[in-house]
Amino acid sequence: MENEIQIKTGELIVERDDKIIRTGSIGSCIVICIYDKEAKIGGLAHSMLPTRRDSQKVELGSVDFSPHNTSGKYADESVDNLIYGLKKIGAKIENMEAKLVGGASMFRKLMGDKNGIGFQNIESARNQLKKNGIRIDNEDTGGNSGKAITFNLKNGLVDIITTL
Amino acid sequence: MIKQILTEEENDQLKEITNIGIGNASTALSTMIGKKVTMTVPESYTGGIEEVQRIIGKSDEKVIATFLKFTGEFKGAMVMILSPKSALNFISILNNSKNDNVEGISENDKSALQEMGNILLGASITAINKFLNLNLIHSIPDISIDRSGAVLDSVLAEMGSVSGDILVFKVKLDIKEENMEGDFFYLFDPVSSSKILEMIKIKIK
Repeated sequence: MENEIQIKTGELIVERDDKIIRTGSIGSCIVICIYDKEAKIGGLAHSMLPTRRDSQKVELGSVDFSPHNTSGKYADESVDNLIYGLKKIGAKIENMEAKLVGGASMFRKLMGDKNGIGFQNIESARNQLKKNGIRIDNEDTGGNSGKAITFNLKNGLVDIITTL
Repeated sequence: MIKQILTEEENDQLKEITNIGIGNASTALSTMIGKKVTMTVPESYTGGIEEVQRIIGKSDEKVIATFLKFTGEFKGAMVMILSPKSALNFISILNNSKNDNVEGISENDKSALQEMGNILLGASITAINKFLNLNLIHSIPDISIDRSGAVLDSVLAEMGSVSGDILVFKVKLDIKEENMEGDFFYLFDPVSSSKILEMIKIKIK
């Protein structure tokens, strides 16, 4: 469909109107969806890692929102970048709500504990949302299976696809 | 970024190490199942984990993935990715059991696939240990039946979590007479890559 936008791993997008954002497979990655239901503006980030370990953080003013960007690589930065991007196209922070999907442990024995990258991704996204005062409306996180989602900006609904 | 650190010569040296490992592994597999096993020259991918994921993990196909980590002088991991058809073929050779789909396979069949990963990685690690005089040890294998993209993003994130960059070698194994093939990925973080290179430099002096 022409109003569909496919998002790649590490990518971040803010959009409006009747667009549908579709992700690829989500394993231990965390997908963060933030939606302003008044303005019908939404954003999505497909983050791979909880936080950056080096000090090359990009200033909010120069975050890259162009297609195939990598502004969504780190979960905590993704939350800040999404809020910044959404505000820029007319969303209000007091109307924003978030949905989280992902953070699975694909290999139970070797990644299943609380040090696993999936668990850290969930925690990082939750903490950063809390810091910014954004409520988590719903989440489907953890577990041991992969998923993919579509995020409909007409109504803010997230469809989770678990079948293979 | 690894891209800037590795020269072409260094990339070739790392490829050669992977080659030594996988060469030994395919011989082990060939001996075990009594069939001719061919393998490709390793392809390497370096860069941010999201860029590597976009290249190697783009499909949403169902796969059977066996994953092992290794530790010692440096850390890394190996993933063996099989299509459902190839996995079922392997199971029928190894366990002599017939299955119509991968959802129906028994714990015993899963165990056979893990054991295959174990043998392949065990053989590669032994070869690398011998060549570079190291003491790498590997973990028990773990298995996941899921989307290839979801499996690979987890593995890449797990191995590249420190710097966000990764070095991956991909090798294709082929057993023509049984119409089977599998992809093998060796993953190293940038710190491990530079340690291996140092050891190669000592070795070839």
